Amino acid sequence: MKVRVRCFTGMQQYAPGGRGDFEMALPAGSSARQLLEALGVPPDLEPFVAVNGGKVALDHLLQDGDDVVMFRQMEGG
Amino acid sequence: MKGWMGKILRVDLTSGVLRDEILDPVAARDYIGGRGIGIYYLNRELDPACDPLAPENLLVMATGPLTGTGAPTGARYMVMTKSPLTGAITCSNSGGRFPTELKRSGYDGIILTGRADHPVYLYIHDGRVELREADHLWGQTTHEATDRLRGETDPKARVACIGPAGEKLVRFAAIMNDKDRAAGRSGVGAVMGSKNLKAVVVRGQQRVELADPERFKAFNTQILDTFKAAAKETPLGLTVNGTAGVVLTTQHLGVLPTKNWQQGTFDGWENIHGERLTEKYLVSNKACYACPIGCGRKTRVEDPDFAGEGEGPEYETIYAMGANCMIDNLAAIIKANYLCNELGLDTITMGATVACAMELVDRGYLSEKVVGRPLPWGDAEALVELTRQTGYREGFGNRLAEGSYRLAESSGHPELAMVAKKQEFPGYEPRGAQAMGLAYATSPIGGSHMRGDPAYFELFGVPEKVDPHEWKGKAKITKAYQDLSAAIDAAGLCIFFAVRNLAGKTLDVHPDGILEYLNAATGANYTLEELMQASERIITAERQFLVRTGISRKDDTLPRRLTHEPMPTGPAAGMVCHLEEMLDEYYEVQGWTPDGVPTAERLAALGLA
Ligand code: SF4
Repeated sequence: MKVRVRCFTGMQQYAPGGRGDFEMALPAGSSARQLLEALGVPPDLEPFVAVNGGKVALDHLLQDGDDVVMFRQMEGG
Repeated sequence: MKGWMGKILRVDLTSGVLRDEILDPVAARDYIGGRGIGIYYLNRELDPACDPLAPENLLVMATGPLTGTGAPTGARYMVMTKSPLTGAITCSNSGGRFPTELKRSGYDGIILTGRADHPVYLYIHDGRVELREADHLWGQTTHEATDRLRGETDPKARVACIGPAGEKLVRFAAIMNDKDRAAGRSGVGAVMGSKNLKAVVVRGQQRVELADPERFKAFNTQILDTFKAAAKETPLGLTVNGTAGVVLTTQHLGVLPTKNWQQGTFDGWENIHGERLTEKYLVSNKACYACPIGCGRKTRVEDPDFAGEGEGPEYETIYAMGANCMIDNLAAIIKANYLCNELGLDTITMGATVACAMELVDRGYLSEKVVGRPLPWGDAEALVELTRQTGYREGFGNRLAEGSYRLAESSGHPELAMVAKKQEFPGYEPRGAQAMGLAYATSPIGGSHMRGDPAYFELFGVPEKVDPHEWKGKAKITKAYQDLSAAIDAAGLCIFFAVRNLAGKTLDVHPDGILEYLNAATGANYTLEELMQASERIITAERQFLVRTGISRKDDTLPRRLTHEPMPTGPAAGMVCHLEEMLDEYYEVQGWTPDGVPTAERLAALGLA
């Protein structure tokens, strides 16, 4: 399956070729955590991951065509 | 006294009499400073029934004992008065350099009353205080007046002033200091304008004495080392994208208020979030005095339609003027922000009032003829033009200058004003962040998150994650954060540093770090219990003032939209805010009656009877 991935604040360095918006092929049934592993994100980083517009837990299972957004959480405002 | 300067300046603008007064050491210890000292004087001296724009209203500008000490973010002061927007109190907080300069001029604060018979400004320098003519400054923008005042006094002086909006009594006029820092909310600028006071100019060269400089320095080093080590590990936070970085979080939790709070996600978010701001418009960061974060944004817009240079925007401005108006043109939002700074307007209420007008027009409750132009959702040019008109009370701007509640009410639909106690909300949807609704409803200034910010535990997971959709148990945590905010505001610190770095790492957020700083600076030897009690005293004293103005549970409300209409889309779809249930719990943990009135025992326990 293929998912679209967009990396923001603090996650761009894990995007292949440094491009923050890319398509990624994954084995069917992969979780958000497996996507992070495939990108080489250290396991203790626990970024904010949203799928199709809403935050998900890292064990959330991805579907073909999903739109994934990830970033490091900030605070303040 | 150490930490405190021990002196308050009294200014009677009617008689022109200026006099020094000793800061009562018992009151200083019991109320700490800043916000605490403000409510101490309001409760003692202000008739709760007073018309906010009458000469009798008191305008208190108060620093805290940590302001100007070099403690990180010890840069702040509080402006407290009776609000012309809400009829309750204001707690308008600002940083920059002015508050430290005020303290170094020898005063913990200034208490102004009366009304001058023509425009004046107050100038404090070299141990002298004088009222000077300001006819030549009336009508000038905050930037023009600041430059002019520094020219005619001292180029190193620091200035807090109003712009045309304050002069024209716009109900949400701000007091701007150092040009672009705002004591923004609840119309403090209109109170200053009603007194014919254009500016306060200070030049101060005194030192803030510390009770135990060694202890202070040692703790400061420890706190800053910890902060720097954490910042090295995670070089993100407010320094990189400013508060605007928060759009990413609120959008993906479905709590980014959009279309006058009809939805919690905005399709145009990618054009207005913090990274866009940094990439396209950031010139440099700007920090308040002694702040290691530097969340301020110096920006420049080259787009000829919205060209300009200045400071901003913050997250709140982006929500209010952007998503809430369905405007995804960041250049226009920045331009409207610049206008607010120059005219002296609160960006949150300005944006939220335009959004309210857009909905009134959309539903046919307000005609384009009255507005003087079409006003569709997303009209960036209208936002900028209406902001300008509001600052001068020109045309339809004269209606907007009353804020969204009065606009919606006079259009026959008060339910479309997204306010608590007639003040517009900041940018976090209570349907998807339950405690935020409780904080809005119980804040002493109406719609605000800064007097106890649940976004930390509900959205950012600081110090630990709490489910934003759950309402049970939220009252206790919200109270703990409100108490913490009282300690931060009274000490003269900034919430953005203090919550993470100077409070305990559990949800009761004890003000441990603030305690150590306060004791090293003042020698007051607070115990943790005494400091926490001082915070409770401040919150309860504020409530006491509100109760005297007639406020009770019936006023601790949210618009029906948030409590009865399920969120239509996004991650918080189907949710409403469970305010009434949380209020029952909240009054109980506060020791207030079910009607929201502090009990006699509670008042007595805090020395407020
Ligand atoms: S974090 Fe921002 S608002 Fe707070 S003191 Fe620092 S620069 Fe000022």
